[in-house]
Amino acid sequence: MKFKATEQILKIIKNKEQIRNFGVIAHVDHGKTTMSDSLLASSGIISPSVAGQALALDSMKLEQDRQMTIVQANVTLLYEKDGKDYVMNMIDTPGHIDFTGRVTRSLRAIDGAVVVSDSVEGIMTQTETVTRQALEERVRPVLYINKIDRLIKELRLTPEKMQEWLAKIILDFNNLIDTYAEPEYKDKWKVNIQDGSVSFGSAKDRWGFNADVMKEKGITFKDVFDAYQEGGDVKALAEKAPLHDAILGMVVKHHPPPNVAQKYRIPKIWKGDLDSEIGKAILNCDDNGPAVMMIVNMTVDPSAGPVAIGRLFSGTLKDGQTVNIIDTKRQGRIQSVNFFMGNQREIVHELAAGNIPALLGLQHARAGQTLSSVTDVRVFEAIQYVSEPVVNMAIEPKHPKDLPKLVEAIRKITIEDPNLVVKINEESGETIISGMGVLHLEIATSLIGDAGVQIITSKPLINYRETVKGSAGPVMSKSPNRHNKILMRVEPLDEKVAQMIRTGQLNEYKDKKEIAKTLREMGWDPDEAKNVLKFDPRGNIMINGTKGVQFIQESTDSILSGFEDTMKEGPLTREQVRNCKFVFHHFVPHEDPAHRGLSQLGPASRRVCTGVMILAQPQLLEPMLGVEVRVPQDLIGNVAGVISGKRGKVIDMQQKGVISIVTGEIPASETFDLSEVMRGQTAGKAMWNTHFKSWTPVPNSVLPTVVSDIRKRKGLAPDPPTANEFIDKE
Amino acid sequence: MLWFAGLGISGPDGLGINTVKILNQADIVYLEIFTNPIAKSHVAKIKKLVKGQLKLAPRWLVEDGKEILQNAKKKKAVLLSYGDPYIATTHIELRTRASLEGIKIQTIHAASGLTSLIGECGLHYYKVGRPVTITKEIKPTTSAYYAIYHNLISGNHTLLPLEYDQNKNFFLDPKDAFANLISTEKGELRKVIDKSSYAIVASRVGSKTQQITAGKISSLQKIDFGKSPHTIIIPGKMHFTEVDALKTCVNCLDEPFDNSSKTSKISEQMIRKYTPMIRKVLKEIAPQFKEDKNISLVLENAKHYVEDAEKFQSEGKDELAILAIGYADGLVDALRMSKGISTNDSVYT
Repeated sequence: MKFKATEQILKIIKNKEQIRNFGVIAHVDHGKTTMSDSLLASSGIISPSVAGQALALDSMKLEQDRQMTIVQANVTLLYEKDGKDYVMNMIDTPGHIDFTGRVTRSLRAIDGAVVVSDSVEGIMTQTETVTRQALEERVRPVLYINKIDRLIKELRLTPEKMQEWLAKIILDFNNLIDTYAEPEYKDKWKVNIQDGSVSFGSAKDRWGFNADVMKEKGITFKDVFDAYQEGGDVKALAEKAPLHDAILGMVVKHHPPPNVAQKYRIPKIWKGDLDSEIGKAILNCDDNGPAVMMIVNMTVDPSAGPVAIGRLFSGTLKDGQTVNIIDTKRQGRIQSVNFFMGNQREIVHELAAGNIPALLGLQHARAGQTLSSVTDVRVFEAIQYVSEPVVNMAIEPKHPKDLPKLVEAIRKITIEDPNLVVKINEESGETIISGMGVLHLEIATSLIGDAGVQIITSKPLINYRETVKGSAGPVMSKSPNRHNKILMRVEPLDEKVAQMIRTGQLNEYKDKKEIAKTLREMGWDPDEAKNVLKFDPRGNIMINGTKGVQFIQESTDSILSGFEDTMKEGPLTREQVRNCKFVFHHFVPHEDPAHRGLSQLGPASRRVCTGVMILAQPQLLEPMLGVEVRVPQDLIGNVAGVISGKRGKVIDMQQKGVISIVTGEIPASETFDLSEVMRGQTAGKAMWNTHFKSWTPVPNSVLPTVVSDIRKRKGLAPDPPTANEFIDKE
Repeated sequence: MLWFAGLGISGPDGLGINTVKILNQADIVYLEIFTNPIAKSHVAKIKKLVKGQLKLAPRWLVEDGKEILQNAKKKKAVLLSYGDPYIATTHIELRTRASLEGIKIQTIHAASGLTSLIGECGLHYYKVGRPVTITKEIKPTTSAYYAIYHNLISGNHTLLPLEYDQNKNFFLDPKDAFANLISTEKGELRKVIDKSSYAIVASRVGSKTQQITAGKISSLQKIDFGKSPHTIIIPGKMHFTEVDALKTCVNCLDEPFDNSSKTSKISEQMIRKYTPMIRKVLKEIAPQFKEDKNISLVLENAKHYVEDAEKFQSEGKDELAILAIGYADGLVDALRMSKGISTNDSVYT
């Protein structure tokens, strides 16, 4: 046990070579939390005897119930290798894809990742998604293959066969790197057994090794095999080759210290001027430069309030310091600078670049924002979210007197989970909570329940989207006074551009020339590329295609307001519009401004946008969830039946030892009773999870029913309107 | 049958005999209330004149027009509006639709505030340029700004009616309109308007409480103009009879003066700036090319172009003047580049 006092740790981190910031990413239930706890045990923060069961990282009871990590925690470990102490900041990231926004954000704070894989199941969809994201952030992955005992106990493999089996997993993993890494890292970052960038072990039994450990301690696969035979001694194996030695050894050897990592990661994750004073400070991880920190997570401490945890890329933060929240142009005062050790927060008063500080006192900070001691810093590029909320639920307290408590509970969970969106419906006064799936909302409501508020929830409602399949126009609509004509065209917007708009990579604050260049590179016509009038954050765009028309400048705001109305409420069902490209084709305004104000141009613009969409083969899109079911082989047929019975389809079936993995997709609207049906059909033997996959057109067979159901729910006539209601003929 | 009848600007007491007769005979009278507010007492008086139905017509009812046209097909319908009926373009549009639908149309004209107030101010109607409404929501008000600009250059007066929103019972205050114009100047920089510009505010023209005030904007900004409606006039070049009338019949806070003198055409501004600049550069670089006969010829040429520019300008041939000065600058620049002489004086820097 190498316990050190906080002061000693602070001394070690003066030398950046002795710091590592790493994370653990893995598929659901591949043993990430068990492994992390095993590492914790070695750092002297919790006792080794409980590491297997305590799941100290899963600080919420809820997570222990569900046996999966929901909210990331940060711990600082201490590890000695070759006579040198290393301080290792470990960010635990959730593996459930419903929360991928968090995975991505925590990736920004780390320089290396330990990818955990189950020995039987191998590289799974979610591992692939997360590893791909890690590579995009230039995070170096290494591989840990867990649950080796399953190869022996379940698959009954010999030591030779075991090695063959494992070589296949490593090959799969390297294929992933080959596919997704940038060219200069493709070869450098492949893992292999010889250099110790792959470890094997069993987190549950707390042993593990890699090539370095094998050499040093003389362990072979035969020893592992023997340990699990009749009369074998697994405990002895864990004493000889403890898991943390393998994992932490691998991290120290293959993951870069922050000062090295920032040199090549910053050009990728920060778009500011690298030659500027700030740019140089960040590149060099300079303690004396301006402080620049990106917040990767916000938690709310019941006694201390919001805690901002993030990566400090340069400078030094101190208690009492005033910092600027660049994204919102606000200021905040740091009450105290803290450091996580286990689930303990220690006040350390100051921390320097390359570390993961936890700051108290910043009430208005939110995850994803950039903090700095100066005001003119380019923010870290908005993190790209993979998903948008797809399910809504109305929520109210059972007892009206609990309303303040409910508001407080909601505030807390939305600070911690930015993927949960809470809105008040202005007409009905209802509180609407939106999330990534039914499961996501179930977790949120149970968190509110834990806060001691009894609540009533409505049936979850699915969000739909509208788009166009074809193009139409130019068509014309007149303003109510018939003195202004607006002519508009529409066509589908390519998904890549739409996604760049939704993630904020393309936004109005960017330089016009830069926008034009980006769009030209996507194959756009130069004339359209330089005439963007508006990026709609739902993933739509308005182009100014008018030529030599007067008064455009004065009228733009009014016209855009009508455009936005249509983007909020599309023609079919008044659901949000996505992936549409509108071209403002021509404008015939009245001479006098009194006749072309918002009250005239707003309605005209809304009518023409709505009308032209109706002519362009409008489509209704529904959220499609990916589903992955693990089930004993003899029940495959039942699972496939459940999936196809829910308008879904089976995409793949894989045999992994005694269980089979069925992957498929199901429309979110069909998942409300999925738990019950699945349990009924498989006698509760299926383990399954869902994640948002894509917006998919509602099939024609059910389209009329779906459209009229949504319309009726919103108090509209069951049939969608016709174009003639919006378009004027001369 | 559809009558478009004007109410004039002096209220129901100023109605003509013919108008009163028509109101009396009509089956339905629509009193249009969105181009200008109509006092309750006036509505009551009009009601007494109408034997049939009297209906107040807000903006949407007239813009939509269906009900009015429907009634006009079978009945005697009247659209009674403030001022003259055909100043509002909405009414003209309604008349066009009525004609297309075969409805018989009659018109009773009446005084319009827009024409009457020009005379009230003592200005000549011959010199009124393009009018533009100033609205609250459009800021900066570039339409109004450029209307004033073009009118000033032609020596014309600009009429700026101020927005009235019947739905919100809102009338734009002249002070806010001035502030909007002055802040537009800060963005456009054409030297069109500032606090020292001369302006006239005509309030409630035609009513008993009519008030017309003239002066520098800085002086006008201190005045309370009272109830609406208000119109701002930015006078251009003034004839001496206009100045006399203004001084005699209107409350003048400052001595009237010509606004147009400081606003000049962009072409004029350019020639005024570039001619001395190019002359200076020519003088500077001439010694460098003394030996070279060919180049001296080119310099000579450039000088002629500068002279041409001034000549064209004085003849009002702006396009030719700009072309000539640009050509001269190009020649000078080319020579300068060949010798590596740098200077900040160029049309294109």
